[in-house]
Amino acid sequence: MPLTPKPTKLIILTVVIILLLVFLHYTHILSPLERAVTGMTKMIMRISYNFSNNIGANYLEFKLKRELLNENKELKDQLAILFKEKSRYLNEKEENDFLREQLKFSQTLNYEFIIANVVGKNVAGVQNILLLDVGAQNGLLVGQPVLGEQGVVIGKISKVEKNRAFMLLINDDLSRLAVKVQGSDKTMGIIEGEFGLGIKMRLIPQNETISEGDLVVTSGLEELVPANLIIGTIEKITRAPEDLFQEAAIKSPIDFSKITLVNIIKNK
Amino acid sequence: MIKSTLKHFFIIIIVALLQVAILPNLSSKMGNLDLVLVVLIFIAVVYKFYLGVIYGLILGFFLDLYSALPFGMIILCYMLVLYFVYLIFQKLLTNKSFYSLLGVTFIGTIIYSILIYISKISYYFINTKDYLLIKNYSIISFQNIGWQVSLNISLAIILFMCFHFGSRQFNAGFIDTTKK
Repeated sequence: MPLTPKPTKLIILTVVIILLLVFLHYTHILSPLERAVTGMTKMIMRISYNFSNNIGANYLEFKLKRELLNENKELKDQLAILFKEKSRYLNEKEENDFLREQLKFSQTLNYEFIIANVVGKNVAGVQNILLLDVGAQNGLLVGQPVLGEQGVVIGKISKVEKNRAFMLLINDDLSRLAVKVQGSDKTMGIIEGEFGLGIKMRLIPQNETISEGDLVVTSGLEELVPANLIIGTIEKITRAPEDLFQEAAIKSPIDFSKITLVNIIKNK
Repeated sequence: MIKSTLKHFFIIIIVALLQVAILPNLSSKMGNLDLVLVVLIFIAVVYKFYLGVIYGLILGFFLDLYSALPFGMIILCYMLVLYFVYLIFQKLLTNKSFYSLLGVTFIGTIIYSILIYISKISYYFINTKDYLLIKNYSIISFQNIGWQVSLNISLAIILFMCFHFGSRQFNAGFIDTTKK
């Protein structure tokens, strides 16, 4: 390493200079020089200080924006998770409410139920068929009535497989169910679906007196369907003098497009 | 001669202003960069050692004017660091290379940090006797050493690159194995 003057001399010289500077500083002899130096650099210092402050402020602003962006992203992620949680919670609440209702209902009726989730709808054709997550191994049989909320009949089991089953809704045009009108001398008839648009009660003799608002229930004539299960109420009656039978449009309290959980009455 | 003196004068002014007015106002991490120390080591290693000492005396004097520490502490710390750098080159290293510059910058920064730390805690202790203040300062100081070392080494690399590609002197200077 090039070193001139000699290292020892340089060290001694440096120490002497430092001591001298310290001495001159504390005896205020160096004050004029110090004032001159600080005075000369004051303007430059002020400008550079303001300049660096601006840089610092801009950097902080940039940093703050970046932090805000990161925070925003994190909050959005959290919000997505919360939405998912909320959706799950609402589903569970809906299921819970349904089960509570069913529990109340099943306590009033003396039947044994199988609770099933609707896992799909008919994907082929125009039939109003729902796919259930229970099947033959749970004790399901073709023809068993399926109940919705409040114990209202919504359909019958149409096909049973080992782990799943198909139920035909009562508003399907292939659906047939023996019913009666309550409180009118046991007026019998059959309900049929109308292409998923409504339910019609047919084969009501002309001499039977029925009126709008009458309650329609199952008649109990079918082997697997107990009597007095609610279907709906008579909405409109159609009478033609030349016909042998009269017809009635039935209004079900169930919204057939929003069925998620159902009850199937088990055979005793 | 006048041209050379003016050149050194401007370098000293720019380095001093950057150190005193610019760096402390940048982000808290950038404030750990010790431009003066890196420049002193660079000059002492790459150019002439006595030039580094002269730079150290002038820059140290300038920084002492703006320092809260007792006058002379900064000059003393810089001179001690330069002395250690000199010793390392005399006893441990055989040549001046890019890696030796980085190594010396690393050791110089550590030594300077320790010296400044000792100076400050002694000063605080004498003035306040506040152990909590000393403890907190110690924690912050040791947390910042890593940053200071990284920033100083980065600056040394930048300086080396700038001078290596900008001056022919470095092409030979970094394979010089002669010791005088």
